[in-house]
Amino acid sequence: MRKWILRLHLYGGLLCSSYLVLFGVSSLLFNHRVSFAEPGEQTVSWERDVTPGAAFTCTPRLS
Amino acid sequence: MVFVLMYFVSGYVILHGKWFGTRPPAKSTRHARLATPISSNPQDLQSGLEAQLGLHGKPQPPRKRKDGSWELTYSRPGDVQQAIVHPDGRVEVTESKQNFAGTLNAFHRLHGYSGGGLYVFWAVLYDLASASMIVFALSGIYLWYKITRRRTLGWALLAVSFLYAGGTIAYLVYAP
Repeated sequence: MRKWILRLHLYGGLLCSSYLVLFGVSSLLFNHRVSFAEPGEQTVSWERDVTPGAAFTCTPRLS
Repeated sequence: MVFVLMYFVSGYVILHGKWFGTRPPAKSTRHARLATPISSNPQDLQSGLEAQLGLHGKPQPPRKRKDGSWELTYSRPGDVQQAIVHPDGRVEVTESKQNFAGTLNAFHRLHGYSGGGLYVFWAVLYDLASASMIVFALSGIYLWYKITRRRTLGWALLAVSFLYAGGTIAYLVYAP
């Protein structure tokens, strides 16, 4: 029993390790105002007439 | 441990919000008139209003609106108060009380070193939990490498884990 729990802990941990690191890093950035993680100044705006029910594509224009 | 468990529970409530009730926030509005003249300094205005109107929670920076009024928002998990202060001294305070799911959602998103003692203490615990996730993940990989001799399955799981995470990020950021 102990052996299986150990294996579950070990291999389950390896499988989840990348997400733990990701969540850890993103949480730290969320809690602190770090310049490179702040939202950018650049905004994208676009407009186009659409017909309800018809498929359409658009090309965003940077402003 | 309890702190991390709270994030697990509240994260689950966020993922399955409908299971925990979808009642919209209960809003109530009250009107008042300031006994003292309005200060032009936002910080003075804020501290004066806190005392006069009994506003509570974590304050956000006062925001001046186009019509010349000031908007002050105070929030704490489950309860948001927004005060609109008009130039003539009239004040309108709207209070929104969240349901259970909304309150847990607010706890899950509570962050930042501002708002006073308890909020700062929360932010410290938040940082500790975040750093722990990174440290435990990396130290776990190191321990696995040190205590096992046959590592094929481990390497495969690590590869799947990091490739899947990287692929998910790339897809979410760059997918058309």
